[in-house]
Amino acid sequence: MLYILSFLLSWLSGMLIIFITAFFSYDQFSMIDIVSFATMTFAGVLILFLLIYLIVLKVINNMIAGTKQFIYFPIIFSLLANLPAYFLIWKSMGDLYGSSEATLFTLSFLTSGFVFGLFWAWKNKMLSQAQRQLPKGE
Amino acid sequence: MRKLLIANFLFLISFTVRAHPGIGIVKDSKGNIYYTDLAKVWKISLDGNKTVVVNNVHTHELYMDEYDNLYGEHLWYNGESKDTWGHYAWCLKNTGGLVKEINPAKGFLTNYSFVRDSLGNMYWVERFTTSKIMKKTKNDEIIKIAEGKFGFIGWLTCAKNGTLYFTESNKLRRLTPDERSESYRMETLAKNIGSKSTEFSMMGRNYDSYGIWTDAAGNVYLAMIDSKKVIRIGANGNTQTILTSNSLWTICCGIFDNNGNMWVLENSVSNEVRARKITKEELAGNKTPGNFTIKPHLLITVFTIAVIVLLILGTKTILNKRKQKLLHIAI
Repeated sequence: MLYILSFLLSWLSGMLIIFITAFFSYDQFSMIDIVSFATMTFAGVLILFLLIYLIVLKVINNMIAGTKQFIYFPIIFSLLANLPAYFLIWKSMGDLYGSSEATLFTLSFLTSGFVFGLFWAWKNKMLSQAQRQLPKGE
Repeated sequence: MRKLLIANFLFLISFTVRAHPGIGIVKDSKGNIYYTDLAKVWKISLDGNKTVVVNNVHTHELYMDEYDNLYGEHLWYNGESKDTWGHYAWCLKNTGGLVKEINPAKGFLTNYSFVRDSLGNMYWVERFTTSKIMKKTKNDEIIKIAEGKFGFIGWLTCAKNGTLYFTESNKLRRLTPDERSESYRMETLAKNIGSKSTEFSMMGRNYDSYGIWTDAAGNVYLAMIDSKKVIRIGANGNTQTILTSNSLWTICCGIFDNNGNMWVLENSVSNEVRARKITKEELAGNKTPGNFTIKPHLLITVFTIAVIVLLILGTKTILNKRKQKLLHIAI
């Protein structure tokens, strides 16, 4: 359940950044734009989530502990884990969309990775708090 | 992953990008309105009765001559295996007979146009790095009337006296024939008419002006397909929004009937086509119907924020339950 929630939250946060930025970038943002961005980012985040995020999460969960997770998790997911997405966005620019759309996609994936990292740092903190409250020896 | 992204993009495009909408809406001398829905040509009689007058024709443009003969084309694609197009031009005579003006041939119409003045001269644009605006006289003489490295040139329209109007990127240009010579004078009537939209939008270009039409007073009207409005550009270059449509319908072109009412040709998100009458009273009152549905963007942004808040609250509840469960097991 938490995996689905983290995926949906990451994707929707990315979409929200696109919607907010679009208010300042475009004079109008039609249903076509909304559906186009929503479908492309949904597919992108889903692929990243299944192929990269889950594997990276498993690795760094064991490597990084405590409050450091709040710093390193968002950075790792928004920058390193998203590198293939940034590369593809840059490579497809001009063919599939223009530079302003590429900027919005980049911002969206940056936000999705950041939120995904924060989500799991928060989850780990909540459960570690519970573990600390356990009687000694449990 | 790239293939997946591209496949997703193509899938998306097939659903979201509307086809190249038509601009064919004309009137005859009696005031009947004719328009194309890209599959048929419809006639709206003076009593409001709507009938199909030409069936099975994919035509974007129409032309009505002074004798009430209606002209159009039929354009078709021969499939991906051949990857070729075919066309013919037809004429619905005022007597009711449908005849072929140009016989079926491969490719697109060349040296022929439905943009004509009252003398029957044809005008068209040849869009290249250096674009040309061409004229074909009634004697079949082809003349180049303008040439230049223009930005994207949209649809061309012609007033009865041969004055041409077209949009180039976000400018409205006018080509006026010089009465004393064969030359034309080009002026920029208005700048910054277009509003910026994304490359996902209908035409994949930055500015959204589409069909152009004029009124008897010399005002020029532009259908802005992405911003879903009609702007009027006065002879002095003043620009004014006179009409907006809702998020389901987009105005693509228009015409004035004999009583001063404006008929607009509209395309829906599901590619339906209709002609709608805007009375002169509505026009005078600057009526702007359906404003509340114009901003789906704002509504969806608010909805997204609400869903995010709900997801955060849901996550918090689940984590608290797990915390409680851990403590409960320990006790």
